[in-house]
Amino acid sequence: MRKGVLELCILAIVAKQDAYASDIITKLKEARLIVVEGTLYPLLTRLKNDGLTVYRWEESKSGPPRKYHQITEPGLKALSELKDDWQELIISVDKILTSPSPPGAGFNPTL
Amino acid sequence: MKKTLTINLGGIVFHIDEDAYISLNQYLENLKNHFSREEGYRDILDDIESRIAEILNDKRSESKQVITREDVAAVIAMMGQPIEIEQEENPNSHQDASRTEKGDKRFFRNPDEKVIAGICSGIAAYFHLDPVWVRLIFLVFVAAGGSGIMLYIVLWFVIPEAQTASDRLEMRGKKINISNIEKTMREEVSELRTRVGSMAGESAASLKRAGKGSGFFFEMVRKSLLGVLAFTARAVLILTGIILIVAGLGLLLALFAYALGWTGGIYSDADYTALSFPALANLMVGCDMHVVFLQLILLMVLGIPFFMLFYNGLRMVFRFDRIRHLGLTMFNIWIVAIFFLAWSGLKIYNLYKSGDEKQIDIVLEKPAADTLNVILMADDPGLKYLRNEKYGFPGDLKMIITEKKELYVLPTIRIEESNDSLISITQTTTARGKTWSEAHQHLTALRFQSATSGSSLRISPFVRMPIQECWRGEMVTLVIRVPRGKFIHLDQGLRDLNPYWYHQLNPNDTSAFQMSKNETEVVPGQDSLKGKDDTSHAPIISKQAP
Repeated sequence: MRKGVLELCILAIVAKQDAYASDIITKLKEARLIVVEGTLYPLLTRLKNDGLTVYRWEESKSGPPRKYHQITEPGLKALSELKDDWQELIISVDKILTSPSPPGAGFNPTL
Repeated sequence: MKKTLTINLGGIVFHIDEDAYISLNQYLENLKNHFSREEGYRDILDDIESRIAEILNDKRSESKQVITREDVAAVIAMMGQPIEIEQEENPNSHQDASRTEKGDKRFFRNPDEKVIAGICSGIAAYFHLDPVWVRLIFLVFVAAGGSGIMLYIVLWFVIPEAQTASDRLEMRGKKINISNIEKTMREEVSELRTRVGSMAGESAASLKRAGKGSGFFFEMVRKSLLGVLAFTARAVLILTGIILIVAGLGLLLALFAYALGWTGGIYSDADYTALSFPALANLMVGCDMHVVFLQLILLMVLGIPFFMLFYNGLRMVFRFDRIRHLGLTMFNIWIVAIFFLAWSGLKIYNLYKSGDEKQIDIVLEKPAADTLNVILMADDPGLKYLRNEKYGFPGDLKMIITEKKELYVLPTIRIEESNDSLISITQTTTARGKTWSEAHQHLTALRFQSATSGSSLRISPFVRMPIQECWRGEMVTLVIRVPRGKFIHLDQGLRDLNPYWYHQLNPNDTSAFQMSKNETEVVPGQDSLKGKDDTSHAPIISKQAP
């Protein structure tokens, strides 16, 4: 189910503000979208290779320079497309979930 | 002392223990192998290294300069093994065989609805059941020898916790429950019906497409088979339901009969272990606890499972939707009842905690006699109750409660083999209570008469005690030790009073039992009988207490 969802979330995060890996990880973990941090790095690299993001080095007070990720024009375009897809998916799924069931069919979930 | 290495990780210098270095290096190698087919895998590895450096840097302090093996293990857990990364990145990949997968469903521990670790709840989610049932089954396993505890611990290790939103969705798949199976079956059956109904028309049509005839035939066979299968499954379901209804109802009735004392008179079944529950409870703890309270606990602890059997049987047969929250409510009440049961058990234990004992040796005036005559005191006031049918037959009588609020209990007589050549008799009186002084008080309130005359022992048929207070295990035990070659003779009155005593004398040894019966014919000093086979006639004897 998450094919593309993680990419969408990463793009959304870097679109708001340039971010380095730790920021993105914190946000994804808060949303409980990832558990192990290693997941993020191949995705970041793929986004960069597809030209959707670029990165720049920035000096850090507390250590070596950090890689800040930044969204590109094609990245913004891809983001808005992915967002539209996501909205459509939500509406479609909602339609099915909230459609009334025919009388007598199905069961009452009582969890 | 440990050897440390200095490494440069992501541009930061670390001192690291040798073993920690080995495991970190191994981990990075694994990642490298894993990502090597990706485009730009160098970048990925560099990023990961920087992140690891950052985490390790946070772990350092003034007092802790060296990276240990534990630090590395913590970092690896955070970053994830290649297989976990793969799993999370691309949940549809089936590379990970260590996790149970079935379609798009997986076993997870459910952290949202958990009692201990969410295992039952996770299993319930997988099968779309009410978690209450899974928990009940687990509790049954726990009660039956504790295997449930082991199983739970194993599952705790084996089943991962549902951590992300997608885990949570995978936890539940298409539901498998009774109504679902039924629905499928009903569809199959009605399909079969229409099939059969239009058989005539279709067979005519099928002649036209003779080329596809065989395919149509097999399709028909398949549908019929499915129909038969559906009917069979439905029949099995109904049959199971009926069995559950009958069993549940029967158990409920039996429970009510027992707990509320519907089973006839209190004393008609005079062996006190067979007393009705309220009578027994009243006798044993009635002075300190409410019997009604105990009855309620008993009804809930056993009644709720019985009722749920009955209820689910009804559901299987009559196919109504489940009543909302019934299972959960019942389970909660049951847990509360279990708690009260444990509490009552503790309280009853306290009532019987301390014991007092009095032991006296009864000395025979003429110990040299070959035979000990045990004679019943025929003037005992308790004997009149024995002749009263209301109190049952002496044959299986063990306890009587009189109108005068006195309790009559049969003494226990045990015969053992003597170590010396003398017949000796020990009378032990016991009683229990909350404290020693209470037990002692119970002991002194107890009446039992025994006397010797010549080579005879005269005993009262009953132990008598007042029951303004409850029965607290007051008991008299007579142990008669007889050397081989000597005899015991129970008089007629004693034998008539309670043939059960014969069993008490020799619960297991039938040959000795035979001997006891013949004992009326044994005359002291009659050489013909004694001389035949001394040992076989020895009044010996079970060493076990009855």
